[in-house]
Amino acid sequence: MSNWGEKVENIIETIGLCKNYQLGDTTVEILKDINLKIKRSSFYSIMGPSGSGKSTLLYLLGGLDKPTEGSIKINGKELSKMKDEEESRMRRNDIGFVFQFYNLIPNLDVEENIMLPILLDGKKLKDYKESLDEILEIVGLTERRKHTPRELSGGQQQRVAIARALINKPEIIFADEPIGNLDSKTGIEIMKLLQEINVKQGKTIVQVTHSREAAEYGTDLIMVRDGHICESK
Amino acid sequence: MEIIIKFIVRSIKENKFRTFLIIFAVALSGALYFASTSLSDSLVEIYTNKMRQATGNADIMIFPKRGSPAGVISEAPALRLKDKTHYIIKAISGTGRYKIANKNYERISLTGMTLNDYKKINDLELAEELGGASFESNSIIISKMTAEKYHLNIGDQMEIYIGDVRRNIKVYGIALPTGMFLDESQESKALISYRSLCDYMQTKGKPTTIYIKAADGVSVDSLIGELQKGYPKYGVEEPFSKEQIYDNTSMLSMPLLLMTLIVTFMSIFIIYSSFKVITLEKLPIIGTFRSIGASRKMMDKVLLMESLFYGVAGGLAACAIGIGILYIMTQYTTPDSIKEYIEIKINISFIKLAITFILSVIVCLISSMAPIIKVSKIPLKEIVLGNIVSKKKRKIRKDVLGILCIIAAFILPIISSRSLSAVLSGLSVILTLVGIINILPIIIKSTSKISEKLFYKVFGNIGILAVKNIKGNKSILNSIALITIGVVTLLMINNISINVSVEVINFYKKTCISDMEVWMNNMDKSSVRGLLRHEGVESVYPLYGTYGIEVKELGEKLGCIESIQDESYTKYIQFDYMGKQKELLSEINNDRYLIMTVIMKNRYDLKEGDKLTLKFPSGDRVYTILGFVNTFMWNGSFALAPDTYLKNDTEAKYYNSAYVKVKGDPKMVLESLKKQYSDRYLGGMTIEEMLNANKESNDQLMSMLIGFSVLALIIGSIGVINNLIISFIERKQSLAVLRSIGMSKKQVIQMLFIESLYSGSIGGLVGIGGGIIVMKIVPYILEAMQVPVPTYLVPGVLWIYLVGGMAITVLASISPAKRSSKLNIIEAIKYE
Repeated sequence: MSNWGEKVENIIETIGLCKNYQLGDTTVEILKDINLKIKRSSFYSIMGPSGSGKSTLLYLLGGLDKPTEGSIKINGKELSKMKDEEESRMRRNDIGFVFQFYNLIPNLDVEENIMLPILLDGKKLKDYKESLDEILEIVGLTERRKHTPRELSGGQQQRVAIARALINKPEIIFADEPIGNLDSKTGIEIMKLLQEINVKQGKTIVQVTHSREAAEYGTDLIMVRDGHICESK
Repeated sequence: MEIIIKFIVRSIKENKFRTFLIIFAVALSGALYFASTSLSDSLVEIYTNKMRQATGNADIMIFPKRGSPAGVISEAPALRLKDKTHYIIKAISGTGRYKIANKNYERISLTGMTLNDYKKINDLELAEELGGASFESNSIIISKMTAEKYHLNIGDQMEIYIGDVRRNIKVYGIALPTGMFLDESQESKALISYRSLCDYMQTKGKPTTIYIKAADGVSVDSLIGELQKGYPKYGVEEPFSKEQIYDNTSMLSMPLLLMTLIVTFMSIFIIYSSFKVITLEKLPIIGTFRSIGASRKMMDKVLLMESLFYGVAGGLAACAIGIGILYIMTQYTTPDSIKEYIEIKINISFIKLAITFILSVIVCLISSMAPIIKVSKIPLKEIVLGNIVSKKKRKIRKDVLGILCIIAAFILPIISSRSLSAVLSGLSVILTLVGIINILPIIIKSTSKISEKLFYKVFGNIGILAVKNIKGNKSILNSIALITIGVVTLLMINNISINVSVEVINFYKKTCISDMEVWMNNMDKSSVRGLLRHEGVESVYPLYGTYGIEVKELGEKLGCIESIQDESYTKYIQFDYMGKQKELLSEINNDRYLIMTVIMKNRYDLKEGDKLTLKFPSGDRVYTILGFVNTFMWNGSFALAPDTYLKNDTEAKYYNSAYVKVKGDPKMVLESLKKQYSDRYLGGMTIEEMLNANKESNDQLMSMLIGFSVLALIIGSIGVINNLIISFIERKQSLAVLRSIGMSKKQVIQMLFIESLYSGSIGGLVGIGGGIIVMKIVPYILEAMQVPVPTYLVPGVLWIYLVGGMAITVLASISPAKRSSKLNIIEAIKYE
């Protein structure tokens, strides 16, 4: 796989990452000793069979879950040492999330959903009007800016989710099955959009996917099986 | 089917709080229905028992009245109907003065009857009895209380003055507080042998009262009719007027029923909103069951069975709680004077309990019906695919419906007839609540921009987010609705309570400007002169008064007609004569004039110059309305009439009472007057005493109504807690998303609290608005209750409702806030 980004430093790094779950009396090891280095401005796709631990890995990298063992560094900062405030700030400013089921707030319109990270960061919305217009243009939803998620198609909702992930200009975007709930035509559109963001804006993207086609849009591939990274290209 | 029922039972068990809430809502509305409808029955029984103390189990009493040929009665006409009676008992009643010490007497009420006769009509339990003697001449039975008060023992001689003659009467027995000895709050009572009292009162063996009990199967009314033929100039009546008892108790029943209606409305709302959640929650399971062959009807039946379970459990609890509430309310509403002497028994009717149970079940089934039907109509495909979209069009209709309800609430009491005004004004309150709830979403939507700005100023960006979250969140909307209903109810009851207190105080401070009112036996002009000479008395205004005179044209009895001589009356009672005081008071003595109250004027559309026929016992007399006074004395059922005409028309020989102005302490002057005129049985009350007595009885009713509205607020608060928890469960995924895009735990908690603060303030403010609307309906309710107290909004305390509303929602949001900090982001995002 080729590197589109010029920088080669590792924006994400994990050392000896383990994640266990307690299922009654049994401890289930989801991830075992994951050592990973993700280069800046790359587009990683994590693949693997159901239950292999790929989504768990993504959530651990994004700070949504805590590892049982090991460490995660984002931009050189140790995630496990962060308190909730700092970790939340990092999720607001350095990370953007895109989910399979879009996960928009149903009673907020497109603009409001996109501006959520700005709101949470305590910034003034009017200072981000231009950024909003620009992002709406990129995701092609300028005409739909006052609509609520219920009034949008699946593809449009996913575009809103991508726009929301971009508004604070984060360096990393995590996407969990971003096209898993879309038809193939819309899926291609979304993947092209993510690729464009990766190429033009130099954002690091880490996606979890079942789809080989979707993985083709990325620069790197990680295969997870039974909690191990079995292949990394 | 069995497996589906198992699933429902499990879900009932799992959602303990919701199960409790629904059962509690059903139980409380049922309990209040039972308590309020039973209360008037219980009070009727208590008042009946009180009345029966004197008259026992007699159905009819015959007594001399004004215009009777003699003060005693012949037994002969009654004896002619002996076959139709169970008994005919002669009794004689009189009053004596028991000499306590030198020149110190205590009034004692005497009843003359043979011991056998007394036992036939009343209960008698003697604590002590004179052995070896019979209850014959010069014997007296006194109560244990009197015996203890005056240190009297069996065989002691009591020196009692009957008329002016001193009699020495031997204490034959000391009775326990049953029968006529039950209530001695006003005066001591004693039973004397019939023959002795006849001798003392020189009635030549003739009674002053005849008590009759109708034989089995004989109608009391028809017997009264026949007896009236034999005693055309005597009073032949039932011992107490049922009408009077209902008048005393019905004033309570209407506000209580209204409060029950409000609480039931709240319960319906809680059950309805809970069932909406229950059905929505079960939707995927319903989809699964239906997809594997369960029919729509089967699923409806199962959900209805769940509702039936809540209804039955709530109904049973309603009966138990209802009995408890009834007991407390009966204790609370029974005047102390009765409570002291009567063991309060509550009237539990099994029919009422059955009705309560059935109503509880019906309320629960009806409230849950709409969400069940709604779910039943959703096509299976939509359920399985999860494509449940709410129709927007209905919201517009709801707004319109809301506004129409409020308009109707304003119009109904105005256009309703007198007979329907109680029902329609009560209905108007409910319509107002329905209307407000329906327009709540539009109120929130239209004020959201301003609220956003305001909350942004105070709380920053999280404030904006909180306001945005409220819009369209149905669970929070339900919470706001519950707060609104609670605030409207509390504001209404509190305001009425404050208004009544203030008006009563104003009445006694501004209208009754004399110091006391006194009454005594045979009060004539010389008695008045005597009073004037008494030390401390400054001036005296004697007056005639008559009560319960029917006005032919109005078909209603006037509570009181008081005599007025001239303008000196205004030194004692200062009415607002609507700017015509001089004119009215100089004219009133010139003819049979009446000065009516503005309340009567408005109630019957009366005008100056209208002629009214007053049905006095001596015959009908036509009076002309001269003018009006603005007062709620006697709840407006009051009129002033010229002294001379009223005296003649009522054939009064003596004054009824007199207003007295004093130089010193009214209480002390009254005490010395009582002492001085003990032989004339002078009684009286200072204005301060009247005020306190009135205030006490009003406070009793009002605090009970406030108790009801607090109950409404409690049930509302529990509903709010439930709604906020539901809202949290519904929003788990949204909260997780917010967390995933960088919202800290602190910010989540902050947001939830701001939301609760906002919803509480909206609920409080809309509740105040609703309260203001309801206060426009309240005068019609009070008018229907014949308590036309002027009502107005007390603005000084409005902030309490706002703060109260906010406090409830903020406290209710503690649990969701706690849960939010433990939220598992991934689980909520992936699986909720």
